[in-house]
Amino acid sequence: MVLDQIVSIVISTGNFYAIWLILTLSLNYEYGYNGILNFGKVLFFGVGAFAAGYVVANLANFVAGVAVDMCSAQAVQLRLETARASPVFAIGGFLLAIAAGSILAGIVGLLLTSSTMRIKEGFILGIVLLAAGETSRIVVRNYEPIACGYHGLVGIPNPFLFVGDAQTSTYYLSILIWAVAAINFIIMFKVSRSPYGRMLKAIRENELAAESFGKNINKVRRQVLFIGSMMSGMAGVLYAYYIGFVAADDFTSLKTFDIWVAMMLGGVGNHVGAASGAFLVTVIDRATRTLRGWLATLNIPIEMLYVRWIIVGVLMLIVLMYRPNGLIPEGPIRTPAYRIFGTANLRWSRWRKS
Amino acid sequence: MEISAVELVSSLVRTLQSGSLYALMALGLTLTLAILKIPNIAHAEYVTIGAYVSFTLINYAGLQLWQVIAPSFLVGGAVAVASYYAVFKPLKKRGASMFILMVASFALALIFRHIIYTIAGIGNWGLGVKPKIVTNAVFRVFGVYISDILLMALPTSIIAMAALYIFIMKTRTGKQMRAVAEDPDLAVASGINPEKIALITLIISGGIASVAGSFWVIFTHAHPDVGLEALLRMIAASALGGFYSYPGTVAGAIIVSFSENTVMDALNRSFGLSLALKPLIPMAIIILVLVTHPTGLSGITWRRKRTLIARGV
Amino acid sequence: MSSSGVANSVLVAVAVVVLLIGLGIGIVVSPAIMGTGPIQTVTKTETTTVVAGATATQTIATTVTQTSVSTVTITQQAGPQKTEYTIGFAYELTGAQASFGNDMKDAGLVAIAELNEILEKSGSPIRFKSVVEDTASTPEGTVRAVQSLVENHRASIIVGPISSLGVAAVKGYLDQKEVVLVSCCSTAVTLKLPNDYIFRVIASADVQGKALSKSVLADGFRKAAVIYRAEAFGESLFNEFKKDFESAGGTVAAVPYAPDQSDYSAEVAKLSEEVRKLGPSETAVVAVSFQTDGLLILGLARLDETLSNVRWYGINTLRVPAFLPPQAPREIAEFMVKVKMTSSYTSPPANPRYFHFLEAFEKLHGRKPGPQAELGYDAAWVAINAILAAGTDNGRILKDVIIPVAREYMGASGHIWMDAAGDRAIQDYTISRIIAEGDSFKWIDIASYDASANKIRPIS
Repeated sequence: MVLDQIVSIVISTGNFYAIWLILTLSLNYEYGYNGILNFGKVLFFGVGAFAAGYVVANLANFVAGVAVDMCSAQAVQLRLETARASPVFAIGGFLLAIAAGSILAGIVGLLLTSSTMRIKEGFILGIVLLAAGETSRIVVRNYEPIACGYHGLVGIPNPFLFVGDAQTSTYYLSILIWAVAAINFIIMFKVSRSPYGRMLKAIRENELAAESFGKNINKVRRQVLFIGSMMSGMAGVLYAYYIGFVAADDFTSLKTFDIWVAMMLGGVGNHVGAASGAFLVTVIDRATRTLRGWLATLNIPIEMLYVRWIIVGVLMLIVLMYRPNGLIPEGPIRTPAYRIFGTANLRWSRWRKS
Repeated sequence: MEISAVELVSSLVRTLQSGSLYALMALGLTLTLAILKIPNIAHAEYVTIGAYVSFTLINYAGLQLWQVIAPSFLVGGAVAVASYYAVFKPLKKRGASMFILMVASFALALIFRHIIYTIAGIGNWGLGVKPKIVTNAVFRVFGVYISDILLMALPTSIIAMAALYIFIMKTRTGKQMRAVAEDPDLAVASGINPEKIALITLIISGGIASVAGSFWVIFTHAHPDVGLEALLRMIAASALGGFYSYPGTVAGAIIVSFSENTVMDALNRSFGLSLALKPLIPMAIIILVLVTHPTGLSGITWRRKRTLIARGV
Repeated sequence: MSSSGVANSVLVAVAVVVLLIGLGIGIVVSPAIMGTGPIQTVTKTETTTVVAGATATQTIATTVTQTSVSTVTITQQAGPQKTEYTIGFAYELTGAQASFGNDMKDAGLVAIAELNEILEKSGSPIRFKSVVEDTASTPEGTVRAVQSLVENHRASIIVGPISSLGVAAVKGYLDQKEVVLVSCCSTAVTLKLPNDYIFRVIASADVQGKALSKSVLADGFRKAAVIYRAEAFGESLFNEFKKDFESAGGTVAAVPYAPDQSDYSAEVAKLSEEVRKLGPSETAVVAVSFQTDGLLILGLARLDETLSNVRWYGINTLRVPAFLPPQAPREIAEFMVKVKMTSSYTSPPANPRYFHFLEAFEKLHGRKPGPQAELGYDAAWVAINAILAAGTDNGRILKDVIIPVAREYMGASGHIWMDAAGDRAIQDYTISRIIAEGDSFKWIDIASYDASANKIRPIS
């Protein structure tokens, strides 16, 4: 049957897309709207995922009244059985995990920004965040109580397991993930139109001018990184639930770069661009896999998957050079005045080269 | 914490061994950053390229180590110059900020690294090949061995550093480079040719990095991730120097290596900190330095401290 | 673009809503299309016969002292029999584990080629097709690879991956999709779960750790300094080794190291110090390293005086051509000879299937296989045997068939005796030592580890 094949592909690609959408939107919020070079995005993503695992594992122990080592095989059974039996545990656990994951990620973001407040040079902040991301991975990897160290935490139960049928619970989870992604997108959309969003862009364009208008740059930076980190944390929780497994080694700096690629390809400073960038990257991944399968039969000694990365790098350079604002550039800022008086400019701005 | 003389001397020897190599690697990074204002992440890949060039020449052309240094330098310099003309110069012309340059260098590094992966795949070099020439212990002192790599890399670093210092401080071109570093617009207005400066800077940075790679390949192996793995150490070394100082970078490299060897060893003995946490050291240094004292060692006003000490304060 | 800002966002919102509606339709419609599978009844009878004693000659199934027979009766819906089955290989073809992944994939392809040849000769219409996906050595990559195999290519069964993290990441998905996975190489003890769709033809770390410990003890050592990779496999193996070694009254010193570094001088120096502390004449060094880090560690160890004058033991990853000339400098092999490096491979000694596999691999791929490739071969064979025995690729049936089928299979790595959780319980090893033979180097088999008896038996 082809229909069910299509449905499965849509669901699996869609889930990854939703998670990447939230991540790309959050990076766009930090860099696109406010010029913060977040090279440590994977850190916040990871914090959300680890928090989800930790919460669920300990909650299961609490609910069942036992104290099983959360990394053992019995604990995995325990979590799955408790989730099947008790909807309260399953869904309650999920809600708790999302709250804990997002807030914790936001707090980590806040801490990092506060400590790097004095650094004016953007690229230095980027390096500090990169180092922070790698550090957290190594620490979590070597410290068992958080996410079972090297082995990872298996068995994060689907919040809808109690429904009984594995297929249906996956559908429900997918809808949930999509809903959360859609909510994030709508929020970003609203922000970009709001006075707050305009202020963010003003700061990005010219810090000095914005400051002279009375905007507190540091406070804004803290707020932006807090929200951005919260969104990444949320994505991390969704990821943990979707895959059902978290391991420190899954959160390497390469993932940060993947998110940067997605944002830059799609469009900087533009939520629609971010959405399209995430879409492009997800689709490219699926497509190159199939392509590689066909190419493998030709017996060329060159490993196509490496070539894929070369192409991605070249694409990024082309985008940076010729369309620095991505394939879908940022539109003009829509103030209320623009909406009323802007139609005259419309034709003119369409022909103007950006 | 008990440590015997053997172990202490051993960790100090290792400090010098890796430290001198890190210094060679990191110098180029500081150069490009200070003079051209380009945070070049792809610099790490010049090291890898140097490693592979040397590996190929040693294994397939039967050259000796001292013979591969010059070709390695040339190839590294050439690749650096190529990256400038292909990527950085067009971007700078379009008025790209440091952020964009850094992201572009990330993309460039990705391209280089995966080209190397592809070549390594074709050559069936698996992952990580050692060249025919290996390090050897030249002599032993206090029960600790001194390898020939140390005997070669340390003097080379010192000479390179000294030569660079003299070049930058004393020669006319060096003064021009410093002028460009201080104020590029004024320098151009004074008639300095920015292209020439850029070329020289890049040839030197790429070249030195590749030479470091040639030593590194004998000391360790040829692997596509060799440069990437050393990147955080290079950044840590440069950060310790405040990103814009050459002696600071070299001192930083020694400090990084010292922390990885002696300090890590001490932490292991006193607190039982597992050696598996060694990769944390350069990152901890980066975070500590950049958060508390971003200007690094060069931010400490040495002259003032010297006078204060002389006055007996 | 600039004018359609409002329209743009509305469009996107509409798209999202439409997708959500589509999803809703999918939920309602899908079960009807995908169906609940053919009606089947499965009966299992288990009879146990005990064979007295264990023989010392190393031929098929000698070490088994207990046999259990399961009969599975399956009634299926009548319908056209499928004649082409797709085996999905999900292996690490790029990234840190790339050389292992490529080897395992190639070993699996040998199995498929052999089977297709047999089927063709016998006139059967059934064929097996193989599709390969790369997991990029990351858990997320493994999920994507397996999803692509199951959804895009409709694989009947998944073979791979190597990493335990990868297996753990896809477990949830495969349990939901009801597709069986057979892994050649994942050793995590935490994955020993019954009633799931994950099966492993490799013995987990406890068996390997015991084998290693026994081989060191058998040579008279009661002190060991172990240098090991600080990650899932290395740590599990070290823990099991330590447990067994200490229970025999031995002392163990640990030197963990972060994998994927280039400069191991600090760790090797630490190892040297530990050996000196324990007493070089009574201590054995045990290396739990893979190819890349192994080469680096040996390259540095040969410079150290203490470490050059003790006996070394290593896991089976060291017993490969990558450590010998021309792929590695001569000095490494000379060092291994000097320290009487003792390693092993995953097969009972003189196993004809093992030698047949080596030949077939070299014939098909033009090179010698890497360490444990025999497990990749066996994993593929267990998968295809299960499908042939069941006559279908329905995951639910395969799940019940695979354990009894594996138990009937004598592989290149020995008898695949899966326990009730679907993990291999018994793995015999052959212990080898490296010697110099004229100008070249050779590994000779000196002993075997009998897993059922938990004993080392020398080979005369």
